[in-house]
Amino acid sequence: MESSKSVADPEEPLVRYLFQGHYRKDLTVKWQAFKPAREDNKTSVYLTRGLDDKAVWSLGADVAAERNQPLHGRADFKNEAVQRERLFVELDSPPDRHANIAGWPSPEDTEQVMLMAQGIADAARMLPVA
Amino acid sequence: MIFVSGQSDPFEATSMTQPTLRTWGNLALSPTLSHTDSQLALPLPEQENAWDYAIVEGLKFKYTVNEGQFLVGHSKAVTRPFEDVVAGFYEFAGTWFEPESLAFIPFIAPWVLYGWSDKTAYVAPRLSASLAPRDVTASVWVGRTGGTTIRTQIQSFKQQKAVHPRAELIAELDDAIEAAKESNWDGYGGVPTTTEAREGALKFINLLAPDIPDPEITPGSGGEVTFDWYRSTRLIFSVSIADTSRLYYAGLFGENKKLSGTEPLGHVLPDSVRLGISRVLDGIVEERR
Repeated sequence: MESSKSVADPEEPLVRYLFQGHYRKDLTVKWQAFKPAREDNKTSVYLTRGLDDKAVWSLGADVAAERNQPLHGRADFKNEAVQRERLFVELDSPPDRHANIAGWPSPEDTEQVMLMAQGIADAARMLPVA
Repeated sequence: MIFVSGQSDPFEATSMTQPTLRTWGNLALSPTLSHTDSQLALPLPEQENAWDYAIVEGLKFKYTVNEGQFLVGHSKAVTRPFEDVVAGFYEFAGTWFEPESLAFIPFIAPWVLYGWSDKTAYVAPRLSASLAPRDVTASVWVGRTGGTTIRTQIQSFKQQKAVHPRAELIAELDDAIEAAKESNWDGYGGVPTTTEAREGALKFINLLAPDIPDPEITPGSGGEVTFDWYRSTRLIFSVSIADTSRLYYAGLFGENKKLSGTEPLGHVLPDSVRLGISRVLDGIVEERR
């Protein structure tokens, strides 16, 4: 359920860092990149308001190091894409700027999860690592 | 398609005539065949590349002879299990050859039987198979409806060395599984693709008719395998498979049209999945109103 930690502004810029090939050659993001994690049924993202492009990449490098995976790219999107799927973004610091897409259906409701992830992916812009 | 001059295609419901069928044992014979009670087997059609047809236990076969001893056949069954069709092939071809000498040679979607409904007149790709004596190294297989000549297909099949028609897709599947073989392969706790998911994925691949293009294959973070037919992020149809029993599907077709659900993973491609794939391939998009 949404809480006081929820991000309300639909214009809030978000990023999902990509460590695997969850994107296509045409630089679109695959919906699989937004699937919630098995552990907590949430999708890890970062808030990027106020950061320039270089800073967003620097944050991504830090995240990649923490997760011990090479950074392949990032998916930029706005909170409105999450809200449109009737999900919400909740703050989850530390680390700083970390948040989760939450409110996903039960993992057993596979097809609904797929639909929602497809919807978010449609709104995301993929940027590969330079 | 090759027909004996003057005959209509026995498998086309709209044009099918119903000649008086004679029986021999449990075989119903077309009137073009001749036999005597003393014969142990049906005579082969006299003319090579000339089709004839028969009905065996409710399975309709059309058959011809190519290149000497080879028998080819094409069966269309109405809501019959795959195993029955295979058994029917052996029984049918056993009228000419010893069953032990026969080899079932799969073609296209080898382990799938597509149904044909009299009621809806919906015709899906049918199972095609061929039977040939085992001691013959050259392989032959049947023609299928759609206009290609038998001889061309035979030559092509010989050159292909019986490669699975979806060999490239299967290779892509295995590449995707290889990329997801480590824990945390996606950086977000992703688990390796499970054996059950791979088996289910192979089962699903074998359901794909020849007219369906290869999808994108992507490993899922939960160990599943996903297939995407993609034209844009707003025109996409996806199937997710975690085991051999069930599939889940979801698709976006424009701004306001969605499709999702779950189906058993059986021996036939579910209509809902075929519909979703068709919508992507046809580019049917619901625009924002």
